[in-house]
Amino acid sequence: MATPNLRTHRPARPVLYLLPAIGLLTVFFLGPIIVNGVIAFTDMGENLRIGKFTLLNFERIVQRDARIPTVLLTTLIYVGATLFFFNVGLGALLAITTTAIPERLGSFFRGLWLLPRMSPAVLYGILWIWIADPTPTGLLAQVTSAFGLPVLNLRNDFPLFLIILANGIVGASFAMVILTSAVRSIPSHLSNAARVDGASEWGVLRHVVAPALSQPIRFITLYQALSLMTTYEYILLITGGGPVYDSTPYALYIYRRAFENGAYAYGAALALGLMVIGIVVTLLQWRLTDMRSTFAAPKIEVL
Amino acid sequence: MAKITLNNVTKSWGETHVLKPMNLTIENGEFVAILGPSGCGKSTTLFLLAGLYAPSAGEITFDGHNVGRVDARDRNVGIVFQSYALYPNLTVRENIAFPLRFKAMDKNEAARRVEEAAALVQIGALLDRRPSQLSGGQQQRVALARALVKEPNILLLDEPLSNLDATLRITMRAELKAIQKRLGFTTLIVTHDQIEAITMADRIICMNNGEIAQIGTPDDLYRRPANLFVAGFIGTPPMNLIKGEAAGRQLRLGQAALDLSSDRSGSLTLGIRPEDIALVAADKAALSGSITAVEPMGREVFYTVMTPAGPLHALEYGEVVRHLPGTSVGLVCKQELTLLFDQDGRRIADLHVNLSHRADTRAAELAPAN
Repeated sequence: MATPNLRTHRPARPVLYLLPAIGLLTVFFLGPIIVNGVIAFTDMGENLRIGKFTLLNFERIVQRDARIPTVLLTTLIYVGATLFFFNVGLGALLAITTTAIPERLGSFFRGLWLLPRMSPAVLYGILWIWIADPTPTGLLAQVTSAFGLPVLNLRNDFPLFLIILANGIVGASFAMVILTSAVRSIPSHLSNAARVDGASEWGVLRHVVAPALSQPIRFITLYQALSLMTTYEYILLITGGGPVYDSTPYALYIYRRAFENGAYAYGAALALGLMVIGIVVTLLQWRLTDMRSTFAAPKIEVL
Repeated sequence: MAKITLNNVTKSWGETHVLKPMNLTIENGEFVAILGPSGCGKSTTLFLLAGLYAPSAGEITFDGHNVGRVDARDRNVGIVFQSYALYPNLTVRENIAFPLRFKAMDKNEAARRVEEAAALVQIGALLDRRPSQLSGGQQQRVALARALVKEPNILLLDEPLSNLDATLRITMRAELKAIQKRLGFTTLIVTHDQIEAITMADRIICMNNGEIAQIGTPDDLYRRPANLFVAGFIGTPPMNLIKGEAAGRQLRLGQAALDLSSDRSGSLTLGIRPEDIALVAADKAALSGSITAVEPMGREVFYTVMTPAGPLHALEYGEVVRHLPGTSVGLVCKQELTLLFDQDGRRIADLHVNLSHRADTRAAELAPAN
């Protein structure tokens, strides 16, 4: 009797499957960090040559760069205000109001708020430049002159305000989408129970809706804080960080030092600093807001 | 505590009429059940009473005051929702105290009442837990305490037992009834479970298709159903219902003919409860047939008998199977327990069929001896 040739089935090594992903991560995530880390300890300038390894860049950040305190303050105001008023505040407001009005109208409004996120950053930046333009063609100038008010030059006089507004309006949609689904997931009988128990509509908002939003808001705050700290494309497009350094937060400062002044090594050192700040903020928030419970299995009501 | 009346109350969502004009009076301190299949409008009625829906037309009064346009928060109503609807972010104590937040009440007084309500439903030891740390039964007790703590005008229970396991349901049934009797709140329970309604309520409102099919005591609904819907809905196993044609004193059901108690013509439906049928020797009854199925159910045995009138179910108490499949049996029933419904489904009072022991039985038995 012929025995069939049974080949023992050998499972393929999982490493082989993961290889493409590992490759991508190494080339695009890990690699740059390592390269950046190395450059930070050199004197690389515009000529892209490494003359010597040195700690001078860090000494400069801590002791000699007079702009650093201003830049940090700008970053704090920019991230704090955008986060509080727009990325969380306006987002929550939009989520609550668009779910309270008829469904189709609500979807329409949410769609409108998503538009800037879908349009190219350059287009969005140009729109803001046109809005803030102090010449008679600018939108704001036309409005103010129609009311006989003096012309405001936002980009010159209130650059920080302008970049907060521009970033906030595009950023609010993230919280809006997440919080809308959070509001929707509140069971209707919970609001009904609160109403029967004597709560006004405001009371329902405070005692039923707000508690349900607190966890997602913590996540949004952490996520958006990090994203605001590290992105600068709208600022670069709208004010260029100016006048002078008035609207330059840390991330843009890195870019300007490295690419405008050609101080690559110094930029790399600053970037290392941003990484440290990011890690510290994440850990701090994780600790303070009990993020572990956010990612823990949800406590769904027994039905 | 309040007396509740509904005068021609309706509720429509656009073109959908969920509730047809409804008239109802619930006395102060009464325990009433609204019973019906899903979609019959029973929960809508409850939400109208709670003030969560506004009636499309008609008048709802509590103790004579029209509350139709009064917000839920000002009606002083306590509800236990089917899913309990506990506030997940609050402890048990805070959940129970929640309705008192909106009343100008002394802190100590509020705390005392919370303790009292918790003790009443036996959850005094759980006050510092959160809802997610409680079992379904415990959550329900918390929901009940929350509804009772504000001393409501009316207590509304929306399918309160349907999420509990069978054993707990029996316990809670008795407990709810006892608490209601002790505190005397006017109470309305909405349920699709007839056992719940029959065991707990003083009166049952049976609803179908947005209308009241019948209002009455559990016994009224069981023994004197007003129409075919109630007859078929109440009772497990359900009532036997057979369609027939009446002419004069006779009711023709399939191949069989039975004697009516008075003259009648037209379509009729005969209704007999399985437990009211006694199985006797085939020659001793006006209607007989052969047994096609025997289902022992422990305390009783459920028989299916194929008769000339059609299949009929009969229930015999006792554990012993007295008749085997294929046996011929006669079916008898007390005359007053046979119900007849007209072609609109309404029960005709005082009309019955004769299903008693055959009058000529003795003569037939004696005949061979002659």
